[in-house]
Amino acid sequence: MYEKEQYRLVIEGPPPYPYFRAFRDMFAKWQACAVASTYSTVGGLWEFGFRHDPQRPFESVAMHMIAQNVTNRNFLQRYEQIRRYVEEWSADGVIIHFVKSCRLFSAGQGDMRDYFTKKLGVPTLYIESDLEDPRYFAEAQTKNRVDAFFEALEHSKATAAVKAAV
Amino acid sequence: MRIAAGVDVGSTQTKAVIVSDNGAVKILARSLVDTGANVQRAAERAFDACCKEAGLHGSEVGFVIGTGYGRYKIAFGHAQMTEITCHAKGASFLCPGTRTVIDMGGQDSKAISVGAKGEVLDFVMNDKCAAGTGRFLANSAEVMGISLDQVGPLSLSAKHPVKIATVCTVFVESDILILSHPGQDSRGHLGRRPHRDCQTHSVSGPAKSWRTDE
Repeated sequence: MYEKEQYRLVIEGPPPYPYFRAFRDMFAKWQACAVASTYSTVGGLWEFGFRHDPQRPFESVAMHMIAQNVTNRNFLQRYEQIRRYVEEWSADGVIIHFVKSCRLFSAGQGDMRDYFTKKLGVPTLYIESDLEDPRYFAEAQTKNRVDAFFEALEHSKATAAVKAAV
Repeated sequence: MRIAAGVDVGSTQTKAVIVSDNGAVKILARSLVDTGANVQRAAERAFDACCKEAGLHGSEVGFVIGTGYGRYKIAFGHAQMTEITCHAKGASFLCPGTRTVIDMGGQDSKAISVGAKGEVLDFVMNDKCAAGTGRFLANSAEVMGISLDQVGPLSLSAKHPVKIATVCTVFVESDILILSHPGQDSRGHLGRRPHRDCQTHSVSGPAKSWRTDE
């Protein structure tokens, strides 16, 4: 728990299971909280209206997992899902966690970063590691990206606060 | 007069600068040493050399900020900041109006989009491969028997650039050795290769995209 929440973030991508502590420390230093994530919708989404059919339970479960799994939805739908999270949760930025071992999730995330940064002007950090293989994590480089992202965010928040006060 | 210092502990070299603020910021001294294996010691050596050049005692420096990969190892530092933010601020101080900074580091390269007040608007990094980094240039220069400073002018004077398929720092070494025939001005021919690699494989893409956006 933080004394004061400083940054609200939407997380895209699977968790870094082998490095939970390292990632936790990197974000805790800046008192950043994850307010929404796409990985929690990887088992299927209900938020776009899908409901299971008790009369056809197996077909219904199958359809939910195939058609409503976040990684099976097209990229425009994923963009819209994240954009909505940012808006509804008043997030300060998006963290895209690219993992080497799940191309289904990670393919196209470079374009996703460009979309949020350039088209929507949402500060977006792109970091890489893995959800199971400990070889795909370089702590010094990741820490550098995380720190630089928050330094820029800190500056823009401070500037916005000054403008609001005037 | 306020005096402050910055110490940049990079993977290859450690840099220090001392500035004074007497209404206007002025650079008093700077130093550069090889980082070596002992990061903390490298920071101390760079800072001491800088103090000596400025004619100051370390205690006269009121504030020290650490940057670079070894920034958290600087025992005498008061604060830490990434080199990405420092580059943006430093470039804007030296060259007001800077929009893009390209940093060819020892182990990575970065392209930084800079705002009007020296703030970081966006950045991209190549930190997965040595191709397109300063280490690539240093290795290539060493194989060709020239100094790092000569790579730039030499590459621009090459009349017959040689195409090398690989982009790997290690494999380019063997390609250079194979293509360096006795009696030929191979260094001139090969010179353009590292230069071009660093343009194409590191950061020129994102930098171009920022320009396009503007």
